[in-house]
Amino acid sequence: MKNALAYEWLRVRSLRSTWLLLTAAAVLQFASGLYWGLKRDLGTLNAFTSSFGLVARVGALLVAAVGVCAFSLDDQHGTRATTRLVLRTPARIVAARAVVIGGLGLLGGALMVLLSAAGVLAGGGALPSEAATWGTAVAGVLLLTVLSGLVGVALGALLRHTAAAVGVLAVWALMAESVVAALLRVPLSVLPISGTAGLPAGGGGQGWLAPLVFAALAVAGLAAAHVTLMRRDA
Amino acid sequence: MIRAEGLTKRFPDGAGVEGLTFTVRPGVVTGFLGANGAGKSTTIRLMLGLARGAGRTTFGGSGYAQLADPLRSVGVLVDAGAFHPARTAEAHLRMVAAGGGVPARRVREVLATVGLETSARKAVGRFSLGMRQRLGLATALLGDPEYLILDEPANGLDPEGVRWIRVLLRDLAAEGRTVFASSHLLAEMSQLADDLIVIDSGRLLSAGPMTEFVQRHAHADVVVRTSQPVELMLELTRRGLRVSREAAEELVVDTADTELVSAIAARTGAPVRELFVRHSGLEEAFMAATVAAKGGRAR
Repeated sequence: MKNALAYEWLRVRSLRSTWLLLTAAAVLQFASGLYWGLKRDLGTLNAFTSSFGLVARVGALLVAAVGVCAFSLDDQHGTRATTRLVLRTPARIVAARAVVIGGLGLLGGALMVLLSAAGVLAGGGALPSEAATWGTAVAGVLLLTVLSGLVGVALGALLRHTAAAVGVLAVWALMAESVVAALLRVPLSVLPISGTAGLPAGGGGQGWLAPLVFAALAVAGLAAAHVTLMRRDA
Repeated sequence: MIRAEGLTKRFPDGAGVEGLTFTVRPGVVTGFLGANGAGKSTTIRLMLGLARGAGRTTFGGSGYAQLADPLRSVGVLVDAGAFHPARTAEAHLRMVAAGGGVPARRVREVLATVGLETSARKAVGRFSLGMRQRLGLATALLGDPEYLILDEPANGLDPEGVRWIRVLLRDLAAEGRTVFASSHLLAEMSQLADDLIVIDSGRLLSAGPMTEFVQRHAHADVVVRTSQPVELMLELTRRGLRVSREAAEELVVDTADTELVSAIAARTGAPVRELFVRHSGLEEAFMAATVAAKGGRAR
Protein backbone atom coordinates (compact mmCIF):
# COMPACT_ATOMS: atom_id res chain seq x y z
CA MET A 1 0.00 0.00 0.00
CA LYS A 2 2.98 2.31 0.64
CA ASN A 3 3.98 2.09 -3.03
CA ALA A 4 0.39 2.67 -4.12
CA LEU A 5 0.24 5.83 -2.03
CA ALA A 6 3.59 6.98 -3.44
CA TYR A 7 2.31 6.38 -7.00
CA GLU A 8 -0.88 8.28 -6.35
CA TRP A 9 0.90 11.15 -4.60
CA LEU A 10 3.37 11.55 -7.47
CA ARG A 11 0.51 11.30 -9.97
CA VAL A 12 -1.52 14.06 -8.35
CA ARG A 13 1.54 16.18 -7.45
CA SER A 14 2.85 16.22 -11.01
CA LEU A 15 -0.34 17.79 -12.40
CA ARG A 16 -0.63 21.57 -12.50
CA SER A 17 -4.44 21.31 -12.29
CA THR A 18 -4.19 19.93 -8.73
CA TRP A 19 -2.40 23.01 -7.45
CA LEU A 20 -4.45 25.43 -9.54
CA LEU A 21 -7.71 24.07 -8.13
CA LEU A 22 -6.48 24.10 -4.51
CA THR A 23 -5.02 27.59 -4.91
CA ALA A 24 -8.26 28.82 -6.45
CA ALA A 25 -10.22 27.46 -3.47
CA ALA A 26 -7.86 29.20 -1.04
CA VAL A 27 -7.85 32.50 -2.97
CA LEU A 28 -11.65 32.53 -3.15
CA GLN A 29 -11.82 31.97 0.57
CA PHE A 30 -9.33 34.80 1.19
CA ALA A 31 -11.48 37.09 -0.96
CA SER A 32 -14.56 36.07 1.00
CA GLY A 33 -12.74 36.66 4.31
CA LEU A 34 -11.64 40.09 3.08
CA TYR A 35 -15.20 40.95 1.98
CA TRP A 36 -16.64 40.01 5.36
CA GLY A 37 -13.73 41.62 7.21
CA LEU A 38 -14.43 44.93 5.47
CA LYS A 39 -18.09 44.90 6.56
CA ARG A 40 -18.83 47.14 9.49
CA ASP A 41 -22.60 46.50 9.88
CA LEU A 42 -22.50 42.85 10.88
CA GLY A 43 -24.58 43.08 14.02
CA THR A 44 -24.48 39.69 15.75
CA LEU A 45 -22.84 38.02 12.78
CA ASN A 46 -19.21 36.98 12.90
CA ALA A 47 -17.08 37.92 9.86
CA PHE A 48 -14.96 34.76 10.05
CA THR A 49 -17.76 32.18 10.26
CA SER A 50 -19.89 34.13 7.78
CA SER A 51 -17.06 34.10 5.24
CA PHE A 52 -17.60 30.40 4.54
CA GLY A 53 -21.21 29.85 3.38
CA LEU A 54 -21.48 29.71 -0.43
CA VAL A 55 -17.75 30.30 -0.97
CA ALA A 56 -16.86 27.24 1.10
CA ARG A 57 -19.18 25.19 -1.12
CA VAL A 58 -17.45 26.52 -4.22
CA GLY A 59 -14.08 25.77 -2.62
CA ALA A 60 -15.23 22.25 -1.78
CA LEU A 61 -16.37 21.87 -5.38
CA LEU A 62 -12.85 22.76 -6.55
CA VAL A 63 -11.37 20.18 -4.15
CA ALA A 64 -13.93 17.67 -5.43
CA ALA A 65 -12.73 18.39 -8.98
CA VAL A 66 -9.23 17.27 -7.92
CA GLY A 67 -10.87 14.04 -6.74
CA VAL A 68 -12.83 13.64 -9.97
CA CYS A 69 -9.61 14.00 -11.99
CA ALA A 70 -8.04 11.09 -10.09
CA PHE A 71 -10.08 8.69 -12.21
CA SER A 72 -11.45 10.71 -15.12
CA LEU A 73 -7.99 11.74 -16.37
CA ASP A 74 -7.02 8.06 -16.51
CA ASP A 75 -9.93 7.50 -18.88
CA GLN A 76 -9.32 10.70 -20.81
CA HIS A 77 -5.65 9.96 -21.50
CA GLY A 78 -5.77 6.17 -21.66
CA THR A 79 -3.58 5.68 -18.58
CA ARG A 80 -5.99 3.26 -16.87
CA ALA A 81 -3.89 0.27 -17.96
CA THR A 82 -0.72 1.82 -16.49
CA THR A 83 -2.44 2.41 -13.17
CA ARG A 84 -3.87 -1.11 -13.18
CA LEU A 85 -0.51 -2.69 -14.04
CA VAL A 86 1.30 -0.78 -11.31
CA LEU A 87 -1.29 -0.87 -8.51
CA ARG A 88 -2.98 -4.09 -9.71
CA THR A 89 -6.11 -4.43 -7.56
CA PRO A 90 -9.15 -2.13 -7.76
CA ALA A 91 -9.22 -2.04 -3.95
CA ARG A 92 -5.66 -0.71 -3.81
CA ILE A 93 -6.38 1.84 -6.55
CA VAL A 94 -9.53 3.18 -4.85
CA ALA A 95 -7.94 3.15 -1.39
CA ALA A 96 -4.77 4.96 -2.53
CA ARG A 97 -6.79 7.58 -4.38
CA ALA A 98 -9.15 8.08 -1.45
CA VAL A 99 -6.28 8.51 1.02
CA VAL A 100 -4.28 10.92 -1.16
CA ILE A 101 -7.28 12.99 -2.24
CA GLY A 102 -8.54 12.97 1.35
CA GLY A 103 -5.16 14.35 2.39
CA LEU A 104 -5.33 17.02 -0.29
CA GLY A 105 -8.87 17.84 0.88
CA LEU A 106 -7.46 18.31 4.36
CA LEU A 107 -4.74 20.58 3.00
CA GLY A 108 -7.25 22.53 0.91
CA GLY A 109 -9.58 22.91 3.89
CA ALA A 110 -6.73 24.07 6.15
CA LEU A 111 -5.67 26.63 3.54
CA MET A 112 -9.25 27.84 3.23
CA VAL A 113 -9.55 28.32 7.00
CA LEU A 114 -6.18 30.08 7.28
CA LEU A 115 -6.75 32.36 4.30
CA SER A 116 -10.28 33.16 5.37
CA ALA A 117 -8.91 34.28 8.75
CA ALA A 118 -6.16 36.21 6.98
CA GLY A 119 -8.76 37.88 4.76
CA VAL A 120 -10.91 38.89 7.72
CA LEU A 121 -7.89 40.38 9.49
CA ALA A 122 -6.71 42.11 6.30
CA GLY A 123 -10.16 43.72 6.03
CA GLY A 124 -9.93 44.95 9.60
CA GLY A 125 -12.47 42.48 10.96
CA ALA A 126 -12.27 40.49 14.16
CA LEU A 127 -11.77 36.78 14.55
CA PRO A 128 -13.93 34.80 17.00
CA SER A 129 -12.51 34.55 20.49
CA GLU A 130 -14.27 31.32 21.58
CA ALA A 131 -12.41 28.07 20.99
CA ALA A 132 -15.72 26.26 20.32
CA THR A 133 -16.53 28.59 17.42
CA TRP A 134 -13.09 28.00 15.96
CA GLY A 135 -13.38 24.26 16.49
CA THR A 136 -16.75 24.00 14.79
CA ALA A 137 -15.63 26.20 11.89
CA VAL A 138 -12.39 24.33 11.31
CA ALA A 139 -14.01 20.90 11.67
CA GLY A 140 -16.88 21.91 9.39
CA VAL A 141 -14.63 23.21 6.61
CA LEU A 142 -12.22 20.28 6.84
CA LEU A 143 -15.08 17.76 6.76
CA LEU A 144 -16.62 19.56 3.80
CA THR A 145 -13.41 19.56 1.74
CA VAL A 146 -12.28 16.03 2.66
CA LEU A 147 -15.70 14.48 2.00
CA SER A 148 -16.13 16.49 -1.21
CA GLY A 149 -12.78 15.19 -2.40
CA LEU A 150 -13.82 11.60 -1.66
CA VAL A 151 -17.18 12.01 -3.37
CA GLY A 152 -15.27 13.50 -6.32
CA VAL A 153 -13.06 10.39 -6.48
CA ALA A 154 -16.15 8.16 -6.49
CA LEU A 155 -17.99 10.18 -9.14
CA GLY A 156 -14.88 10.34 -11.32
CA ALA A 157 -14.64 6.54 -11.22
CA LEU A 158 -18.33 6.02 -11.89
CA LEU A 159 -18.88 8.63 -14.63
CA ARG A 160 -15.36 8.49 -16.17
CA HIS A 161 -15.79 12.02 -17.49
CA THR A 162 -14.40 15.14 -15.82
CA ALA A 163 -16.99 17.66 -17.03
CA ALA A 164 -19.93 15.33 -16.35
CA ALA A 165 -18.76 14.48 -12.82
CA VAL A 166 -17.95 18.09 -11.90
CA GLY A 167 -21.27 19.17 -13.43
CA VAL A 168 -23.18 16.67 -11.28
CA LEU A 169 -21.31 17.86 -8.19
CA ALA A 170 -21.94 21.53 -9.03
CA VAL A 171 -25.67 20.96 -9.51
CA TRP A 172 -25.77 18.95 -6.28
CA ALA A 173 -23.76 21.44 -4.22
CA LEU A 174 -25.23 24.66 -5.54
CA MET A 175 -28.80 23.83 -6.53
CA ALA A 176 -30.19 20.35 -5.99
CA GLU A 177 -30.13 20.39 -2.19
CA SER A 178 -31.99 23.71 -2.04
CA VAL A 179 -34.62 22.31 -4.41
CA VAL A 180 -34.92 19.09 -2.38
CA ALA A 181 -35.22 21.10 0.85
CA ALA A 182 -37.97 23.28 -0.64
CA LEU A 183 -39.91 20.45 -2.26
CA LEU A 184 -39.70 17.92 0.57
CA ARG A 185 -39.73 20.50 3.37
CA VAL A 186 -36.52 19.08 4.77
CA PRO A 187 -34.20 21.43 6.70
CA LEU A 188 -31.04 22.27 4.72
CA SER A 189 -28.99 21.47 7.81
CA VAL A 190 -29.61 17.72 7.40
CA LEU A 191 -28.65 17.63 3.73
CA PRO A 192 -25.07 16.46 3.16
CA ILE A 193 -23.34 19.41 1.50
CA SER A 194 -25.54 22.27 2.74
CA GLY A 195 -25.53 20.92 6.29
CA THR A 196 -21.77 20.36 6.37
CA ALA A 197 -21.13 23.75 4.75
CA GLY A 198 -23.38 25.32 7.38
CA LEU A 199 -21.37 23.94 10.28
CA PRO A 200 -18.82 26.81 10.40
CA ALA A 201 -21.70 29.25 10.87
CA GLY A 202 -23.11 27.18 13.71
CA GLY A 203 -25.25 24.74 11.70
CA GLY A 204 -29.02 24.64 11.93
CA GLY A 205 -29.54 22.68 15.11
CA GLN A 206 -29.05 19.24 13.53
CA GLY A 207 -25.42 19.09 14.68
CA TRP A 208 -23.32 16.48 12.95
CA LEU A 209 -26.07 14.65 11.07
CA ALA A 210 -25.25 16.24 7.72
CA PRO A 211 -21.53 15.33 7.76
CA LEU A 212 -22.51 11.79 8.80
CA VAL A 213 -24.88 11.50 5.83
CA PHE A 214 -22.18 13.02 3.58
CA ALA A 215 -19.60 10.53 4.91
CA ALA A 216 -22.01 7.63 4.32
CA LEU A 217 -22.54 8.83 0.75
CA ALA A 218 -18.77 9.11 0.21
CA VAL A 219 -18.20 5.57 1.53
CA ALA A 220 -21.06 4.20 -0.60
CA GLY A 221 -19.68 6.01 -3.65
CA LEU A 222 -16.18 4.61 -3.10
CA ALA A 223 -17.61 1.10 -2.64
CA ALA A 224 -19.56 1.49 -5.90
CA ALA A 225 -16.37 2.73 -7.60
CA HIS A 226 -14.56 -0.40 -6.38
CA VAL A 227 -17.29 -2.70 -7.71
CA THR A 228 -17.31 -0.85 -11.05
CA LEU A 229 -13.55 -1.17 -11.38
CA MET A 230 -13.74 -4.90 -10.62
CA ARG A 231 -16.24 -5.35 -13.46
CA ARG A 232 -14.52 -3.12 -15.97
CA ASP A 233 -11.69 -3.94 -18.36
CA ALA A 234 -8.68 -1.69 -17.80
CA MET B 1 8.91 -18.87 -19.71
CA ILE B 2 5.47 -17.41 -20.36
CA ARG B 3 2.61 -19.89 -20.62
CA ALA B 4 -0.79 -18.81 -21.89
CA GLU B 5 -3.58 -21.36 -21.61
CA GLY B 6 -7.07 -21.14 -23.07
CA LEU B 7 -7.22 -17.36 -23.38
CA THR B 8 -10.74 -16.51 -24.44
CA LYS B 9 -12.72 -13.33 -24.67
CA ARG B 10 -15.74 -12.56 -26.76
CA PHE B 11 -17.01 -9.09 -27.55
CA PRO B 12 -20.68 -8.41 -28.30
CA ASP B 13 -19.88 -7.88 -32.00
CA GLY B 14 -18.50 -11.42 -32.22
CA ALA B 15 -14.83 -10.40 -32.24
CA GLY B 16 -12.40 -11.56 -29.58
CA VAL B 17 -10.04 -14.45 -29.05
CA GLU B 18 -10.83 -18.13 -28.67
CA GLY B 19 -8.88 -20.68 -26.62
CA LEU B 20 -5.39 -19.37 -27.30
CA THR B 21 -2.70 -21.59 -25.81
CA PHE B 22 1.00 -21.02 -26.40
CA THR B 23 4.35 -20.72 -24.65
CA VAL B 24 6.98 -18.04 -25.04
CA ARG B 25 10.52 -19.20 -24.35
CA PRO B 26 13.33 -17.12 -22.87
CA GLY B 27 16.44 -16.03 -24.74
CA VAL B 28 14.69 -15.34 -28.03
CA VAL B 29 12.36 -12.71 -29.43
CA THR B 30 8.90 -14.14 -29.97
CA GLY B 31 6.81 -12.26 -32.49
CA PHE B 32 3.06 -12.12 -32.08
CA LEU B 33 1.67 -11.79 -35.54
CA GLY B 34 -1.80 -11.12 -36.79
CA ALA B 35 -3.66 -8.76 -39.06
CA ASN B 36 -5.25 -5.61 -37.63
CA GLY B 37 -8.21 -6.71 -35.53
CA ALA B 38 -6.99 -10.30 -35.26
CA GLY B 39 -6.99 -10.07 -31.46
CA LYS B 40 -3.36 -9.30 -30.62
CA SER B 41 -4.05 -6.46 -28.19
CA THR B 42 -6.95 -8.35 -26.62
CA THR B 43 -4.65 -11.34 -26.07
CA ILE B 44 -1.99 -9.18 -24.43
CA ARG B 45 -4.59 -7.53 -22.19
CA LEU B 46 -5.90 -10.97 -21.20
CA MET B 47 -2.37 -12.14 -20.43
CA LEU B 48 -1.90 -9.23 -18.04
CA GLY B 49 -5.34 -9.35 -16.45
CA LEU B 50 -6.28 -5.99 -17.97
CA ALA B 51 -9.27 -7.54 -19.70
CA ARG B 52 -11.73 -9.92 -18.14
CA GLY B 53 -12.02 -13.28 -19.85
CA ALA B 54 -11.23 -16.95 -19.54
CA GLY B 55 -7.83 -18.60 -19.43
CA ARG B 56 -4.63 -18.12 -17.50
CA THR B 57 -1.17 -16.77 -18.20
CA THR B 58 1.84 -17.43 -16.01
CA PHE B 59 5.20 -15.71 -15.94
CA GLY B 60 7.67 -18.23 -14.56
CA GLY B 61 4.77 -20.07 -12.91
CA SER B 62 2.88 -17.11 -11.43
CA GLY B 63 0.04 -15.04 -12.83
CA TYR B 64 0.60 -11.27 -13.12
CA ALA B 65 -1.67 -10.60 -10.15
CA GLN B 66 0.32 -13.00 -7.97
CA LEU B 67 3.77 -11.60 -8.77
CA ALA B 68 5.46 -10.10 -5.72
CA ASP B 69 7.11 -7.29 -7.73
CA PRO B 70 5.28 -7.11 -11.06
CA LEU B 71 7.25 -4.17 -12.42
CA ARG B 72 10.52 -5.96 -11.72
CA SER B 73 9.23 -9.14 -13.36
CA VAL B 74 7.13 -8.03 -16.33
CA GLY B 75 7.74 -4.92 -18.43
CA VAL B 76 4.73 -3.91 -20.45
CA LEU B 77 4.01 -1.62 -23.37
CA VAL B 78 0.30 -1.73 -24.18
CA ASP B 79 -0.51 1.72 -25.50
CA ALA B 80 2.34 4.03 -26.38
CA GLY B 81 0.05 7.05 -26.56
CA ALA B 82 -1.23 6.62 -23.01
CA PHE B 83 0.39 9.45 -21.05
CA HIS B 84 -0.96 12.56 -19.44
CA PRO B 85 0.14 15.26 -21.90
CA ALA B 86 1.01 17.81 -19.20
CA ARG B 87 3.25 15.45 -17.27
CA THR B 88 6.96 15.35 -18.10
CA ALA B 89 8.65 12.12 -19.17
CA GLU B 90 10.66 12.13 -15.97
CA ALA B 91 7.59 12.70 -13.77
CA HIS B 92 5.76 9.86 -15.52
CA LEU B 93 8.63 7.46 -14.95
CA ARG B 94 9.12 8.60 -11.34
CA MET B 95 5.44 7.95 -10.68
CA VAL B 96 5.56 4.44 -12.14
CA ALA B 97 8.87 3.71 -10.37
CA ALA B 98 7.40 4.77 -7.03
CA GLY B 99 4.34 2.57 -7.57
CA GLY B 100 6.50 -0.41 -8.44
CA GLY B 101 9.04 0.04 -5.67
CA VAL B 102 11.76 0.69 -8.23
CA PRO B 103 14.61 3.05 -7.18
CA ALA B 104 14.32 6.54 -8.66
CA ARG B 105 17.85 6.31 -10.16
CA ARG B 106 16.45 3.86 -12.73
CA VAL B 107 14.49 6.75 -14.27
CA ARG B 108 17.66 8.41 -15.62
CA GLU B 109 19.06 5.04 -16.69
CA VAL B 110 16.05 4.04 -18.78
CA LEU B 111 15.72 7.52 -20.27
CA ALA B 112 19.33 7.16 -21.44
CA THR B 113 18.63 3.64 -22.77
CA VAL B 114 15.81 4.89 -25.00
CA GLY B 115 17.61 8.10 -25.97
CA LEU B 116 15.27 10.52 -24.22
CA GLU B 117 17.63 11.96 -21.58
CA THR B 118 17.56 15.44 -23.17
CA SER B 119 13.74 15.43 -23.23
CA ALA B 120 13.29 14.25 -19.63
CA ARG B 121 11.80 17.57 -18.47
CA LYS B 122 9.62 18.05 -21.53
CA ALA B 123 5.84 17.58 -21.28
CA VAL B 124 4.77 14.37 -23.03
CA GLY B 125 2.13 16.34 -24.97
CA ARG B 126 5.01 17.88 -26.96
CA PHE B 127 6.46 14.48 -27.85
CA SER B 128 6.29 12.98 -31.33
CA LEU B 129 4.71 9.54 -31.73
CA GLY B 130 8.17 8.01 -31.91
CA MET B 131 9.24 9.73 -28.68
CA ARG B 132 6.09 8.50 -26.95
CA GLN B 133 6.91 5.01 -28.15
CA ARG B 134 10.38 5.34 -26.66
CA LEU B 135 8.90 6.58 -23.39
CA GLY B 136 6.56 3.58 -23.38
CA LEU B 137 9.58 1.33 -23.78
CA ALA B 138 11.39 3.17 -21.01
CA THR B 139 8.37 2.50 -18.77
CA ALA B 140 8.51 -1.19 -19.68
CA LEU B 141 12.25 -1.37 -18.93
CA LEU B 142 12.02 0.55 -15.65
CA GLY B 143 12.04 -2.50 -13.38
CA ASP B 144 14.77 -4.28 -15.41
CA PRO B 145 12.23 -7.08 -15.94
CA GLU B 146 12.78 -10.68 -16.95
CA TYR B 147 9.69 -10.70 -19.17
CA LEU B 148 8.78 -8.06 -21.77
CA ILE B 149 5.32 -7.84 -23.29
CA LEU B 150 5.25 -5.22 -26.02
CA ASP B 151 2.23 -4.37 -28.15
CA GLU B 152 3.35 -2.96 -31.50
CA PRO B 153 6.65 -1.57 -30.14
CA ALA B 154 7.82 -0.22 -33.51
CA ASN B 155 4.66 1.79 -34.21
CA GLY B 156 5.47 5.38 -35.04
CA LEU B 157 9.22 4.90 -35.11
CA ASP B 158 11.24 6.18 -38.07
CA PRO B 159 13.46 3.69 -39.97
CA GLU B 160 16.36 4.45 -37.65
CA GLY B 161 14.09 3.92 -34.65
CA VAL B 162 12.82 0.61 -36.05
CA ARG B 163 16.40 -0.54 -36.47
CA TRP B 164 17.21 0.67 -32.95
CA ILE B 165 14.34 -1.25 -31.38
CA ARG B 166 15.24 -4.36 -33.32
CA VAL B 167 18.77 -4.27 -31.94
CA LEU B 168 17.52 -3.42 -28.43
CA LEU B 169 15.02 -6.29 -28.29
CA ARG B 170 17.50 -8.79 -29.68
CA ASP B 171 20.07 -7.65 -27.11
CA LEU B 172 17.50 -8.01 -24.32
CA ALA B 173 16.64 -11.50 -25.51
CA ALA B 174 20.34 -12.36 -25.73
CA GLU B 175 20.60 -11.51 -22.02
CA GLY B 176 18.19 -14.39 -21.40
CA ARG B 177 14.99 -12.36 -21.08
CA THR B 178 11.68 -13.47 -22.52
CA VAL B 179 10.64 -10.96 -25.17
CA PHE B 180 7.12 -11.09 -26.62
CA ALA B 181 6.38 -8.39 -29.21
CA SER B 182 3.28 -8.05 -31.33
CA SER B 183 3.17 -6.51 -34.77
CA HIS B 184 1.12 -6.49 -37.92
CA LEU B 185 4.18 -5.48 -39.95
CA LEU B 186 5.52 -8.63 -41.55
CA ALA B 187 8.79 -7.17 -42.84
CA GLU B 188 9.64 -5.90 -39.37
CA MET B 189 8.73 -9.22 -37.78
CA SER B 190 10.77 -11.24 -40.26
CA GLN B 191 13.88 -9.36 -39.15
CA LEU B 192 13.09 -9.31 -35.45
CA ALA B 193 11.59 -12.59 -34.31
CA ASP B 194 13.04 -16.03 -33.77
CA ASP B 195 9.75 -17.62 -32.75
CA LEU B 196 6.29 -16.74 -33.98
CA ILE B 197 2.82 -16.93 -32.51
CA VAL B 198 0.39 -16.32 -35.37
CA ILE B 199 -3.30 -15.64 -34.88
CA ASP B 200 -6.12 -14.91 -37.26
CA SER B 201 -9.63 -13.83 -36.28
CA GLY B 202 -8.84 -14.61 -32.64
CA ARG B 203 -7.68 -18.17 -33.29
CA LEU B 204 -4.19 -19.60 -33.08
CA LEU B 205 -2.71 -20.48 -36.46
CA SER B 206 0.81 -21.36 -35.47
CA ALA B 207 3.22 -21.29 -32.55
CA GLY B 208 6.88 -22.18 -32.92
CA PRO B 209 10.11 -21.16 -34.63
CA MET B 210 9.64 -18.71 -37.52
CA THR B 211 11.71 -20.87 -39.90
CA GLU B 212 9.31 -23.78 -39.36
CA PHE B 213 6.29 -21.55 -39.97
CA VAL B 214 7.76 -20.19 -43.18
CA GLN B 215 8.76 -23.65 -44.38
CA ARG B 216 5.34 -25.07 -43.58
CA HIS B 217 3.42 -22.38 -45.39
CA ALA B 218 6.00 -21.18 -47.86
CA HIS B 219 5.98 -21.87 -51.51
CA ALA B 220 8.82 -22.37 -54.01
CA ASP B 221 8.68 -21.41 -57.69
CA VAL B 222 11.17 -21.71 -60.47
CA VAL B 223 11.74 -18.44 -62.29
CA VAL B 224 12.99 -18.71 -65.89
CA ARG B 225 14.13 -15.79 -68.02
CA THR B 226 14.13 -16.61 -71.70
CA SER B 227 13.85 -14.86 -75.07
CA GLN B 228 11.21 -17.46 -76.18
CA PRO B 229 8.71 -17.37 -73.35
CA VAL B 230 5.67 -18.34 -75.44
CA GLU B 231 7.19 -21.57 -76.75
CA LEU B 232 8.56 -22.54 -73.36
CA MET B 233 5.28 -21.71 -71.62
CA LEU B 234 3.34 -23.93 -74.03
CA GLU B 235 5.72 -26.84 -73.51
CA LEU B 236 5.72 -26.48 -69.69
CA THR B 237 1.92 -26.34 -69.67
CA ARG B 238 1.75 -29.39 -71.95
CA ARG B 239 3.83 -31.25 -69.37
CA GLY B 240 1.21 -30.46 -66.73
CA LEU B 241 3.03 -27.61 -64.97
CA ARG B 242 1.28 -24.42 -63.93
CA VAL B 243 3.03 -21.43 -65.46
CA SER B 244 2.47 -17.70 -65.17
CA ARG B 245 4.14 -14.87 -67.02
CA GLU B 246 5.32 -12.11 -64.67
CA ALA B 247 7.26 -10.04 -67.21
CA ALA B 248 7.72 -10.05 -70.98
CA GLU B 249 10.55 -12.57 -70.86
CA GLU B 250 10.00 -14.09 -67.44
CA LEU B 251 8.03 -17.21 -66.55
CA VAL B 252 7.20 -18.47 -63.10
CA VAL B 253 6.71 -22.23 -62.87
CA ASP B 254 4.86 -23.74 -59.94
CA THR B 255 7.52 -26.25 -58.93
CA ALA B 256 10.78 -26.31 -57.03
CA ASP B 257 12.34 -28.75 -59.54
CA THR B 258 14.93 -26.70 -61.45
CA GLU B 259 16.29 -29.75 -63.29
CA LEU B 260 12.89 -30.56 -64.79
CA VAL B 261 12.34 -26.99 -65.98
CA SER B 262 15.85 -26.74 -67.38
CA ALA B 263 15.45 -30.09 -69.22
CA ILE B 264 12.17 -28.98 -70.80
CA ALA B 265 13.75 -25.68 -71.82
CA ALA B 266 16.67 -27.55 -73.42
CA ARG B 267 14.31 -29.84 -75.36
CA THR B 268 12.25 -26.85 -76.52
CA GLY B 269 15.39 -25.07 -77.64
CA ALA B 270 14.48 -21.94 -75.70
CA PRO B 271 17.64 -20.09 -74.71
CA VAL B 272 17.64 -19.67 -70.90
CA ARG B 273 19.28 -16.52 -69.59
CA GLU B 274 18.49 -17.15 -65.95
CA LEU B 275 16.84 -19.93 -63.94
CA PHE B 276 16.49 -20.05 -60.18
CA VAL B 277 14.25 -21.15 -57.32
CA ARG B 278 12.35 -18.36 -55.63
CA HIS B 279 11.31 -19.14 -52.03
CA SER B 280 8.49 -17.14 -50.54
CA GLY B 281 9.14 -15.35 -47.24
CA LEU B 282 7.19 -14.62 -44.10
CA GLU B 283 4.73 -12.39 -45.90
CA GLU B 284 3.71 -15.09 -48.38
CA ALA B 285 3.71 -17.74 -45.63
CA PHE B 286 1.46 -15.58 -43.46
CA MET B 287 -0.92 -14.90 -46.34
CA ALA B 288 -1.01 -18.60 -47.22
CA ALA B 289 -1.64 -19.60 -43.61
CA THR B 290 -4.46 -17.10 -43.11
CA VAL B 291 -6.10 -17.96 -46.43
CA ALA B 292 -5.93 -21.67 -45.55
CA ALA B 293 -7.39 -20.99 -42.10
CA LYS B 294 -10.23 -18.93 -43.53
CA GLY B 295 -10.91 -21.67 -46.09
CA GLY B 296 -10.96 -24.29 -43.33
CA ARG B 297 -13.38 -22.24 -41.23
CA ALA B 298 -15.63 -21.61 -44.23
CA ARG B 299 -15.87 -25.38 -44.85
